[in-house]
Amino acid sequence: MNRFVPLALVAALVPALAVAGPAEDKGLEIAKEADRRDTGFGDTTADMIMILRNKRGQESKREIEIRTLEVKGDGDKSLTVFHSPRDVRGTALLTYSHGVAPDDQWLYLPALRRVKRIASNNKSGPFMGSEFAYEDLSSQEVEKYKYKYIKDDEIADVACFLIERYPVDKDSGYTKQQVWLDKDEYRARKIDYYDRKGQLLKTFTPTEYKQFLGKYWRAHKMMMVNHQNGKSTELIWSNFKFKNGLKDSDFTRTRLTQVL
Amino acid sequence: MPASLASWLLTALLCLGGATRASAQETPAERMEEADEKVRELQEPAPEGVELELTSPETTKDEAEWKDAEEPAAEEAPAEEEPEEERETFGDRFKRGDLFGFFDVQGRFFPQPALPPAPGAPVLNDYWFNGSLAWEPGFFMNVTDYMNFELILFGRVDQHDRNRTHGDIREAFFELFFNEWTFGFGVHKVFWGVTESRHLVDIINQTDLVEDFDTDIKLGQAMITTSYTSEKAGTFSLFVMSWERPLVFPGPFGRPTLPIPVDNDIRIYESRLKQGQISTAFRWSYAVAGLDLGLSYFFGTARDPQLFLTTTGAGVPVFQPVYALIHQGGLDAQYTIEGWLLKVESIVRGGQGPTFGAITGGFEYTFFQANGSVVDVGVILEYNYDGRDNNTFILFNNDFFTGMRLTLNDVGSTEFLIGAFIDTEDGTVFIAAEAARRFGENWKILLEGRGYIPQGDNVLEFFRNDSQIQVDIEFRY
Repeated sequence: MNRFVPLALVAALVPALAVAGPAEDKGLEIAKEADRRDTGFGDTTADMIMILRNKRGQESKREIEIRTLEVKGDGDKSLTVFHSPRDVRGTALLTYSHGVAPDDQWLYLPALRRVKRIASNNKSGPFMGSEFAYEDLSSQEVEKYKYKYIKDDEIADVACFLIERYPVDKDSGYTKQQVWLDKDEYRARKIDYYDRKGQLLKTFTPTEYKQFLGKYWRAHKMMMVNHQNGKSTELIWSNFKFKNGLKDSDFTRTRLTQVL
Repeated sequence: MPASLASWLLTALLCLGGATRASAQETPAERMEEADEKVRELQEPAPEGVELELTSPETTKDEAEWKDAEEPAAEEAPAEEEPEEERETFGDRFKRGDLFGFFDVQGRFFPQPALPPAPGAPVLNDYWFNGSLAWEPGFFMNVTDYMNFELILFGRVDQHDRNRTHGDIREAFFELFFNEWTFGFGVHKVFWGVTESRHLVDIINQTDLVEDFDTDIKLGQAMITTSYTSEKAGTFSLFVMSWERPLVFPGPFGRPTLPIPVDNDIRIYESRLKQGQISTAFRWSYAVAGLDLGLSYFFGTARDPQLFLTTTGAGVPVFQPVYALIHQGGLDAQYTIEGWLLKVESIVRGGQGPTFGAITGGFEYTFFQANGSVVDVGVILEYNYDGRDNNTFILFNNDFFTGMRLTLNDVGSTEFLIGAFIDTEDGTVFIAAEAARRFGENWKILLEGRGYIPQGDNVLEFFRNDSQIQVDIEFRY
């Protein structure tokens, strides 16, 4: 087949071997603590501007509105609505995420007024031509990964835990992610993504964290740099609103056709 | 294609290409520096055009301490001192009313000469080029948290076909929603179904056939509707409709067109109320795990008329459309597992000649990131059977559709779709290929080729010489 197969096999075995040891336990504890600190937010709405840049510095912009509903005992529900580019205005994506089980996703195409269930195994595909894969933007449930604590580290003089996490899903585009979480608030400060061949693929850097309801931290700027193709995608977030009183009935296939 | 047109197209393409902003070559390091600079800029107090809107001062605080550690520049301007004003972003656009829509410049090229409608008859549509312009202005407003209003109009001016020069109200619809319930009234479009090659179950709206033969484009339908959605029981919807629109076929100057014109002025309705007949429809749809299921029932005036040959007072042969009252039960289902979408649609219809059944079923499979690239390749195979024998105009009644979809996942959302219908009875083939790409933020170019390869006495024999290439340049706002 190809010469990467043995390497890919080794990489695939790594998570299998990484079970129960002090480093694994500590990694999982850190991930659980980060998750615990972000539970109870109820629901959020936010606006996002996505700026795509290619190697030559050409830019392309997308405007996206995101509504999220926290679901107890399951993955979150989310509604993603496109405002621009204007040819996809009103296109909306409804996602019921389910931790390890495949997500349910419906796409609404306003020109045809059609709601279409889409395949759920497209984890590693690019989201709207950006450097973010679908799995990078999906609900980050603890059980989606196996963990390992590596060491204490610093990012820009901020004390961090460095943990590695290994995706459980076989459709993931990654073998490994290195995550730096600051010790103060367990916020991600940097994530390095390693591709299926074990090579460094992308670096994610969230900045401009702001706190909401005295508890929840949200980065208002995120940068994803692809080291292999020289492209990057920047997300600029605004209008974060919490506890809007959103309900299950705001995240149905019926409502998907009524958002815009 | 004449040189002048080709050069005009080329110029247009170059202009569009120029719309995407290009800057000088940069190294990745320079880009990172720029990005860092931008971070610093963003941390200056309230820069122009950058949204730093926060929900409310009480619930939000900035962590200057942490920022200081990261960026010394932030020391000069601790974020807490920023005026926390409510800023309107694009997300609020729909609250105050969003104006949207598109302009379309369309050219259709016909490489072959048109055939006469009957031996020796004059050829009215023998041209190699047809140009047309369209505008679809829209307005959407979230009037209150539980009420939307949408208005979408459409108009096209066609160079040759007077029937294709037409206008429509696509939407003029108020919609209210209270938890599980929605209520709507006005002119609206509704789509039902799952398959790609044919939309059997979809019946609420009349097809805008002069816009496109592919039956994907629909006219608005006047209705009152309500629905109830619950996670456990699914969605129940009820539609009460009236003022059904006739199906408009291309006129004698249209291309392609039927060899005998359809005269809508002499159309007949089975209902004594004619267009005032009230049609009703009910639908239940449900989703569980990988399964999406829909059951529907329709009673009212048929959307697709039966066509009967007759003559005008002057002895000219024309088709007279007859709109029967029909009952139609429909089923649509899709099972989604990994990259597979397994689909089926089926109807049983009574009231239009003998009761008949029809089915469309097949699959779509997508190879995501095919061969290690970012390109998705989808393959579609569907079979169509239609048991009707009642003078309604359908192109295929026992045929396979096979298609392939290429999604490049690039900045311009480039997509290719190629598909062919193959008639299992006589081997007639209809083939279509489409390509679409966005340029810049607002422009879109669509290319489409269609070829008719009829065999025997297939109905497509009329279209033997009507293979076409279509170019659309759209400005979407």
